[in-house]
Amino acid sequence: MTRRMLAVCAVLVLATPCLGRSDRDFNALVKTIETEYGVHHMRIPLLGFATFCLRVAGTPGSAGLKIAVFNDVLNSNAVSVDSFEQSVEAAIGTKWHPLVRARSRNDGNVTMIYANPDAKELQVFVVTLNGNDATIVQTKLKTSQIWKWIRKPQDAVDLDSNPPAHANLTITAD
Amino acid sequence: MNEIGGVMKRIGTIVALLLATQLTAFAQDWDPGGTLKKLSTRASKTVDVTLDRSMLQFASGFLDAKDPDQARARKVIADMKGIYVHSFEFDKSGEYTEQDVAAIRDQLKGPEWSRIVNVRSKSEGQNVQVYFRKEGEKFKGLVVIATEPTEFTFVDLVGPITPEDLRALGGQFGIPKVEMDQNSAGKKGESK
Repeated sequence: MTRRMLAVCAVLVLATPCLGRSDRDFNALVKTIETEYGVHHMRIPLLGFATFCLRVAGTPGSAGLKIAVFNDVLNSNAVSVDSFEQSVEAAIGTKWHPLVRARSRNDGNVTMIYANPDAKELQVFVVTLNGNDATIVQTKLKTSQIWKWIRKPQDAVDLDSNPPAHANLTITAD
Repeated sequence: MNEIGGVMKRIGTIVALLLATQLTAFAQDWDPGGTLKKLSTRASKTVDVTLDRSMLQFASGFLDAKDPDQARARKVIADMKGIYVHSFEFDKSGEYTEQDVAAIRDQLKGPEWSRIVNVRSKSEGQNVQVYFRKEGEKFKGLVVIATEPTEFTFVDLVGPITPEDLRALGGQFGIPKVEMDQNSAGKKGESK
C-alpha cells in the first residue's frame, strides 16, 4: 500500500511540470470564452485516445494536441465577431505572438493563429470561429511543419483554395 | 549632490524607456493613415500575417545553410525586425478606391522614401509598387503595395533589406514573388 502511494506521489510530482504555462494559457482562454459568452466547451469522447493515435501515426502538428469546441458562441450573448476577436486577443498570454489572422466577412469565419517561438519547438494556438461555433486548438508543430507554416503562413488558413493573385509578379525597372 | 545624482539617474531611465518605446513602435506593425483598418471593414476576406523579430529568428533556425537560396534568406531575415503582410479581397471592383491607395502613398513621401521600382503584372489590372526606406546609404525597410481590381496587398518589411534581398525573400513569408532585372536592383528611380 505504501509502495503504491509512493508511486502515485511520484507520478504526481513528475506530472506537475508537464502542466506548463502553455497548458495554463489554454485553460485560461477556454475559461475566458466560457465566462464571457456563457457557454461550455463540449466534451469530446475519446479525444485522449485519438490524440494518442495521431501521435503514434506521426501526423504533422499532432504533438501535445488540445482541443476545445464551443457551440452557439455568438448566439449566446448577441455578440459580434469583432468582440470575439478582441476577447481572444485580451485573454491570450503575452508570450503568444500573432502569426496569421484571416477573416471572411461573407460567411463570418475567423481564424487566428498565435505562435510561441520561445520554446524549442513551435507551439501554436489556432482559434477558429465558424458561424456561431468556435474551436480552440493548441499543439506543438513538428519541425517539418514549422517551416511550411512560417514560409507560407497564409497556407495555414484556408479561406478558399485559390492562391493569392499577387503570388507571381514580375518587377521591371520604372 | 546625491539628489542631483538621483534625478539624473531618473532622467536617464526615462530617456532609455522613451527610446525603447520608440524602437518598439518602429518595429511594430504599421497602418499608414489608418487605411488598412478601413479596408478591413470593407473587404470580404482579410488575411494578416505577422512575423515579428522573434518569429523570424526562430524561423531562421530552420533554414538550411547548405542550400544557397535558404542560406540567403536566412542571412536576410536574421537582421529583419519584422515582416507584416495584409491582404484584402473584395467582392467586386470599386470597393476600394484610388483615394485609399493614395492615402497610403502619402505616408511614403519624404526624403527617406524612394520608389525605386515599379511593377506591372503581365495580367491586366495588376499593379505593384515597391518603396524603399533609406537613411543615408543604409536600407531601413521596404513597402510593397500590390493592387488589383478586387484585391489589395500591403507588405511592410522592417529592417535592413536591399532590392536583392527582396528577390531572395519573394514567394516566402507572404511576400509576393518578384523577378527583378539585374539593372533595376539598387537603381534609384523615381523619388517620392
